Amino acid sequence: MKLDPSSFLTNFSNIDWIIVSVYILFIVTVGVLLNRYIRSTADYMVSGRATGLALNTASYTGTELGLVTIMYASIEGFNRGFSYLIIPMVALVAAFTIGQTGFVVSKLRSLKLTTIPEFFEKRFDKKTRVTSAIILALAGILNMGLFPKMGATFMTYSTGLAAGGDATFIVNLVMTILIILVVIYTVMGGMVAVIVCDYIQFTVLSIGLLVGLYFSLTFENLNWDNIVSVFSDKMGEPVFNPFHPDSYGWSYNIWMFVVFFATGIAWGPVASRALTAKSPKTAQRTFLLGSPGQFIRLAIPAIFAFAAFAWFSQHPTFSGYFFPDGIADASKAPQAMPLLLGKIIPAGFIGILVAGLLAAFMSTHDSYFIAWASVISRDIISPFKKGTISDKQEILYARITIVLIGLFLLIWGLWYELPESVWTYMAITGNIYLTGATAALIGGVYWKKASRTGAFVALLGGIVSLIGIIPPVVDKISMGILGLGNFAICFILLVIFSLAFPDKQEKTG
Amino acid sequence: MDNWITFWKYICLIGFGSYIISVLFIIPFGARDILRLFKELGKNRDSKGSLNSGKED
Repeated sequence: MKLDPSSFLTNFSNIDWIIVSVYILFIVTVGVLLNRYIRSTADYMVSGRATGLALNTASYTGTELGLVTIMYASIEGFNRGFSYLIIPMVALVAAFTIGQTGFVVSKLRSLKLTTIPEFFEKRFDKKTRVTSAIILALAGILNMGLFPKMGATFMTYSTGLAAGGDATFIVNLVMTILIILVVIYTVMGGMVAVIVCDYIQFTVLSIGLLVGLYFSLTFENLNWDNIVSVFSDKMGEPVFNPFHPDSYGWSYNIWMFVVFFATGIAWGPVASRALTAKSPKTAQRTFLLGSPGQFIRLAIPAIFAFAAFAWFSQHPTFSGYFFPDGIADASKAPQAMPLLLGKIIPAGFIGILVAGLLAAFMSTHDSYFIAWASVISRDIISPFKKGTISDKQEILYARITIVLIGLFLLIWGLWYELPESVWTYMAITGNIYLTGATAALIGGVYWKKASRTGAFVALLGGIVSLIGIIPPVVDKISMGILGLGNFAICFILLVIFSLAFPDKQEKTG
Repeated sequence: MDNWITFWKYICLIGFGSYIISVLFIIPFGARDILRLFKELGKNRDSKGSLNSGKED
């Protein structure tokens, strides 16, 4: 069913455009002005390792709470219903566990690292560092390939721009503008700009999400009981029971716990919050204080999607569009949440929410840009350069890398079509690095017999994750089993090759 | 199924409640941390002088 473009008009008005424009201008100006504080690689890449607990937690939450997160959480919420809430719960438990124990992160901070791959050289050798950096950068940049398009899709539908006609063209235009803005302020201000802007974005986003939550649960017939009743009638028990055979199942939920845990200790943009903290204790507490943020970053967008599901299924115009033949159309799920918010939240408030979600977009991109650029310049380019490289040169490499990553994202975003399960795409691309790096990191920190050969082979073992994108394999083996199996393979490779090829002379970490 | 519905309701209440409490801590103390960060970086700037001062670490 096709809808008239005017159906996509929302409550977004001139006052909302003013709010969003002022916000963007403010953030970019702050980023550019903070350039004056950059005097060394440590300032540029880990903000001088001087970030306090509250600020570091705001940045940790801001990094993890991206617009892409909000989009894929809402897509899963729309398609899976309340069962999806198990994922935010698992994310909270994983962050809480790291925060309680300081597992790996305290050790990484105490080593005064600038990037995670540096650990592999300190503990193993240069080859392991460069290998991990190449895999991390490739997996990471591929992983963020969908971010800009997802963000632009949200902006286009929530602001009513989609009513202007060619929605695909508008999405691409919005995406280009957003990428240019984030590149400018990240290139100029580095990690100092990232941390400070993350704080501002955390504040705006927290207000925006709560505004959205209020309207999603109070507008017209939208309330908790009504939403529950609509899901119950349309989809039955699997929509509430995450362990039901037609829902996620046990293996998927356990895999998610492992993924969130591994992300906290090994994934560049997230684990770097351990490196920016002013002390190992602050690094540990960042994860503890940030654990509720791990819950809401996935749960609130899911609730927006629950509301969208209930509202559109009862709407005279949109029920046929989102529910052809009475069944939810998964391919339309990305449009549902932003369109609902644009329709139910009044002018003025929608501007605050969109500014908040734009903040989410920017805070994730800047962190990812700086993390991957730091890894490429410091762990891939610098080790191959003869002689000493000055801080100025290293920062220049990082800045050029950021611009190149921005260009890649633009080309990738224009060319690549959004897959139905964005989350699966992200989990697989992330796993390429996460599985091997987690094994090598944990082994390197806690197992004296872990050898450079074992770590090297474990890192390469992560490439097995690519099997997950081969359709016949995905159809036959569940994603949970595949994901968990990949982690297990990397740990087994680490143990076997470390015992078979021990280091001749132990290095201390 | 009813047990799951009740379960999710309370999980959301606890999750949102704990987030609001953490926000009330993070916003004011985060502002204080920004000022301290600038002070710390300012000190580094004074002692290091320029970007060409050599490699850190």
